[in-house]
Amino acid sequence: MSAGLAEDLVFAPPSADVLSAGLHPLDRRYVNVIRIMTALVLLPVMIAATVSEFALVAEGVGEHGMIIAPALALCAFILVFLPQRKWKRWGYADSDEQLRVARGWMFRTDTIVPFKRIQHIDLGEGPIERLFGLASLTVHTAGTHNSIVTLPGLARDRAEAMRDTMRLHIRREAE
Amino acid sequence: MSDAFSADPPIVLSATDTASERRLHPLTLMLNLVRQVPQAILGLIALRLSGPDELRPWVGLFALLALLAMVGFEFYRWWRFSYRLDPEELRIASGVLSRNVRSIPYERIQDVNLEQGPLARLVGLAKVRLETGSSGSGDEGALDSVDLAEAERLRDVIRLRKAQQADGARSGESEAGTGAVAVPQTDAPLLFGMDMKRILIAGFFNFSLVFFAVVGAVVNNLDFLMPDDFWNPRRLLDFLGLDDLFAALDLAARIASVIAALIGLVVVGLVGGIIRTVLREYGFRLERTETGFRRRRGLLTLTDVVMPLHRIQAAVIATGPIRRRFGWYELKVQSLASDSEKESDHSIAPFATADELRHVLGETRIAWDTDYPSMRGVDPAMWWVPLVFALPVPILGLGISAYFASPWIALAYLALPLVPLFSWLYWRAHRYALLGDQLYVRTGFWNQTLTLLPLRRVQSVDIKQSFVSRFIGLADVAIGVAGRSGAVTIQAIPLGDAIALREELLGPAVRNRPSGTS
Repeated sequence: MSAGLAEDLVFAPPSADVLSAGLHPLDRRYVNVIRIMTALVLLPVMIAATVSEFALVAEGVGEHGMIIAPALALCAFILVFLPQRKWKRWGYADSDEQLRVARGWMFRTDTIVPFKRIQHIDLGEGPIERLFGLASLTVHTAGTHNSIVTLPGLARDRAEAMRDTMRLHIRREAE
Repeated sequence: MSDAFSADPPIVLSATDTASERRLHPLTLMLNLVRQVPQAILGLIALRLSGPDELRPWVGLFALLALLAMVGFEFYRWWRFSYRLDPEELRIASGVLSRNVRSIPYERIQDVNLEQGPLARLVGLAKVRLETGSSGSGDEGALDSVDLAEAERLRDVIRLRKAQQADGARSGESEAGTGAVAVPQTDAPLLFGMDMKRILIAGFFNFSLVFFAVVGAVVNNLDFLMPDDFWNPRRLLDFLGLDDLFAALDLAARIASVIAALIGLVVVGLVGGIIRTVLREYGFRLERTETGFRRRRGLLTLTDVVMPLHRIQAAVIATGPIRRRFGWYELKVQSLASDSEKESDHSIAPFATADELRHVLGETRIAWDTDYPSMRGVDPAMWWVPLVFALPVPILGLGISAYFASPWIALAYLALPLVPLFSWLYWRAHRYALLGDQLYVRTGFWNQTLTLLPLRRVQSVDIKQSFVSRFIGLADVAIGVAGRSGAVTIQAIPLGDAIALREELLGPAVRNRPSGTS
């Protein structure tokens, strides 16, 4: 997290190593979705920090600002830098009759599901995603590992188009 | 005794008598009650010993009331459970408070498995388990229990109806409801069987300390009966009257007694393994039916399981370093259904030689064309990288505690080389090969498994990299397969190999595309 922060401020396409070649980035607006979702996670932390600070000050220990200030700084830092980083780590491709979803950096996973192997498809819109006109695509396979592969942060019409292409390929498994 | 499931002469069934509502066998009531007795007795003992003093005289009354309630409830539940063989589907109505009617179309029933516990065998009942395609536990349709004749009849009717539905789709349903139809019942050829000698040898390799686990569990549950400090060694010796004896022994004798105890442990483990194996595998028969495999086994609990060939996703050959020396292997197949509550893979040859195993495998479309030397190893980073992260902790921890607590702790350093040794052994055992349209993955040093995965069964492929493996240019490949508890994983291969392998793996699923886009 400490090294290379400056380069992350630039909205570069997903990192260009061998594995990530040919991946599309998610919709730019998804950064805001991540930001809001992160803020929702951080909210309880801020509340806890505030409550404990007021309790401590009432006890006569320390001064105002000793917990809230660092907590606020940390949250602000996370909210400014983390969403772009997270967004950048996602990537997808849907050519060659297969759906490819790559995610994560510390532990990167690059999944390919052939369209033929898709059992059914969900098109989901969370309340925050809908706010930005985004949708997430979830495909289900028969495998126990990777039975659910989710691709978030797609523009709604793009997601619908992808779903329609995939639907053509879903057939009953040959017995 | 073992041939309770043996094929009867061809039976004749009339279509009229199959459409009536039926209940489970009345003796099921008794079975269910008997199953609850041990629990009830334990509860009563607990109540008698630990309940408030004023309640003690009433325990008998409570017991009577509880018994009546249990009998009443079980009877009502039995009364509310019924099933019916409709022309199109099997209907099961159940539920005490909320009613539930489940319809299972015959074409969705993959096959019918029978299971007989020891009590059920005494009274001639069997549990009928219907395998449907859904990937949940095996109880999507279970009739527990009906008598054996009815179970066989159900199996035959369901098979017949299934066949009729398949025919009906073609020939316009000419046969529906026309009197009697004979069910063809030929004795299927035996593919693999185990005699008593084989089962005993298998048990010998099945070293199991489950006996101690059972004793431990019982002791745990009966804790309230024992004095508080029962497990204190001195107290235990005293209790057993061995206190003076132990004190009188000199060092050599003590060491000898420890060795004797260890030998005893080994003997108990061997006997435990043999008993367990005999109980499970007694009378093992694997037959080839028209659609797949049929397996019957069990000494006390008989099971009769059918595995349609087309549902087999992958095969697993399991062995161990010692078993392999003697040429013994186990063959399991993975399908969408699970074998039992405990095991998801179907063991179709628990203890076989390589030749027998190939004979059984020959019936599936899965080949076994590789051996250890011809498979590719993976990068040595697999064994040493985790050590870099894992070893410093115990080294430091031991040092600190040896310094502060007792220098004797430093002796534990002697055990540390075992960690890299095992890590190395596991790395050496991990190999893979891609031959024809099949992937072979070998893992494990003590429990060696060789997974045989036809590429047409690949559901998805992951390439995984952690920040460490990215740094050294390696990746893991994880393959999703239906009906398997985890992924088939190949660890620590160069990223380029991983990407090339992924292409190959996905070949069958992406090939025969309409227009060659490459």
